[in-house]
Amino acid sequence: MEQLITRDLSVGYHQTPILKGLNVSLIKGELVCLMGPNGCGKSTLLHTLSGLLKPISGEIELSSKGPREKTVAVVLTEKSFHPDLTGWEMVTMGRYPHLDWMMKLQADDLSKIEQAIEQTGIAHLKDKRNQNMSDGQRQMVMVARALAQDTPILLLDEPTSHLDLNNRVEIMNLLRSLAHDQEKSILIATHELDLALQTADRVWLADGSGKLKTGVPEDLVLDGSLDEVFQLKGFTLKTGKVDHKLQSGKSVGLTGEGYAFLWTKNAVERTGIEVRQDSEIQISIEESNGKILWKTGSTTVHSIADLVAWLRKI
Amino acid sequence: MTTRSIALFIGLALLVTILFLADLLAGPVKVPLEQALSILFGGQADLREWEVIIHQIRLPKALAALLCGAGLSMGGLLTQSLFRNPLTGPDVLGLTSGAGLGVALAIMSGFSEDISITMAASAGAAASFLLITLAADKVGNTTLLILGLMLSAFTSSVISVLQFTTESSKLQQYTIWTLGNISIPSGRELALLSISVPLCLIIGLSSLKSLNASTLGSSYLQSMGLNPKVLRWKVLVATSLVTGTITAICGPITFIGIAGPHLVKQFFRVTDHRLLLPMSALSGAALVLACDLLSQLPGGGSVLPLNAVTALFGAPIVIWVILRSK
Repeated sequence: MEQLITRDLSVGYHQTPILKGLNVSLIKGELVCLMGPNGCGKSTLLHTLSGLLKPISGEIELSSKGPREKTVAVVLTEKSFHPDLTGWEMVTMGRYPHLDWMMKLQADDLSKIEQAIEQTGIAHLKDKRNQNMSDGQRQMVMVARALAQDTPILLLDEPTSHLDLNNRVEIMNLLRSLAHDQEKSILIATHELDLALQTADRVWLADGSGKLKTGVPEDLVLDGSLDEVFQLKGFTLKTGKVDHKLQSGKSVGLTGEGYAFLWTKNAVERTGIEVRQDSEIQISIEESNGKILWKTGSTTVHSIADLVAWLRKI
Repeated sequence: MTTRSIALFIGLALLVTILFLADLLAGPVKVPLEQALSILFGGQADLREWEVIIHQIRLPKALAALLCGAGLSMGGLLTQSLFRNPLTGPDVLGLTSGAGLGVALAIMSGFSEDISITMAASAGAAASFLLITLAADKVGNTTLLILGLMLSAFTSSVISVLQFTTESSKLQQYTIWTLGNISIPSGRELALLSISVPLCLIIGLSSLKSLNASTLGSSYLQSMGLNPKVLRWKVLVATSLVTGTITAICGPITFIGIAGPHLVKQFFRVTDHRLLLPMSALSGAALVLACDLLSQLPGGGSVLPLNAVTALFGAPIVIWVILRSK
């Protein structure tokens, strides 16, 4: 079921459209990543869908009939907030659309706030003041604020940009489970290809020419759309690997299993040597007493560092 | 609201009450406290003279100081929250000088009615506010302050030009006004103050949610279903009205608009306007009452201009705010 539908939507600033003629929809329970190179209009589209910016032409239709602030919650890239605000106060503001002028929190509001704090794991930031928060902590608090708003649609602009890898994965997993378990429609503008490909149910791909292509991430990888838009240099998306310049002629054969095999292959290719089973040099990866050994002919090494040093000499 | 904030609120209210009573007692004629209290609550005093002094001189003056401080401080808070700039206030933004120009134009064109002067002052303040608002979207925080400064410089030079072309009796009336002395206000002037200051409070109370949300910036404010334009108009009306009335009646009083809210913000570190608004009103009232007390210190009936005393207090507070925010 569509939560949000656009009809011939054109977005941009000062009557200059960046994205034109968009007919897309956000489906209930789906996590969508909006991707594209810098300046392709990701942020502009997100601001327009959230009602902060007027469309140049076309329409946005929300399936929920209530006021927009009870339907759509946002996380923006803005971060110049009052320095003395506490984490609790910031999350509480998510409830504002549901409160009267005196902003008295009812039991229901409190439980929504506590739930948002728990889901984002920011209980330790409740009393912390904004000026003492790291960018990543502030980002998590703003995600919690949007969750506390308790809307069927969540729009997030680069929510992972200030986070470290752990938090990035955590927040994407959280957003995905919110979409799947609580049937929210979530749109994330991001340039983090790896995370998007692993979590998105659907990708909206802006190619920088004003058009938006949509599809399941794997389809967009296989038909080359993502490669084309991102003009990836030295990285092949289909294999998910960095292209290494292979030194002329050098190759080794590898035998082994599991992660030890994968990481050895990674190290060998990183050194600039091709892995080919019919090579004259054969390396076997063995395990004894819980330790990994690399054997080739008469030589045995005990770490990948030593293996790389040895490979450099051949 | 925590018990701590309630305690702070009661503490501030007590301080204002004490200063208010002290202001009633201060002056060349000594009136005993219990006599003053009994007069205040409608009773009789031992000396008829004391009743006259309290009823006709000190009470109106103390009430004017109370309202004036509360109004300017709330006006300062509203502009600070609207522009998200801790250093703004009615005086810094040029509203006070806009009101001053309104007063000058009114006096020099022959109006002497308090209501017409008040209206002219409010209109002057509103005009300055509109100019600043037009510019506020395009410039940063510091530039906004410089614009306010330029606006003040502009209006004061317009006033200087006006002074050269005005006959001396009107000029004298204007000069007395500029000293910002809360001389004994008339009943009508007190009535004007007690309409505009509570009105400012009511407008502020009706915008509490927007004021709080504005701490996250106008995009988030909008995303919570609140309207930044409505907030802007409300603040414009409330601040212009309160600055205009106070400036017309008490003269150009500076620094209270910054110092009032900042004492609250710095000491209690609150960002919630449900507390900030009434507490700023109280701290502003306390400041002006204290300044009014101090202005009577020279003794012997001579009284310092209030404006000199507020600057004496206010300027160090502003410097402190700037240094702390670095």
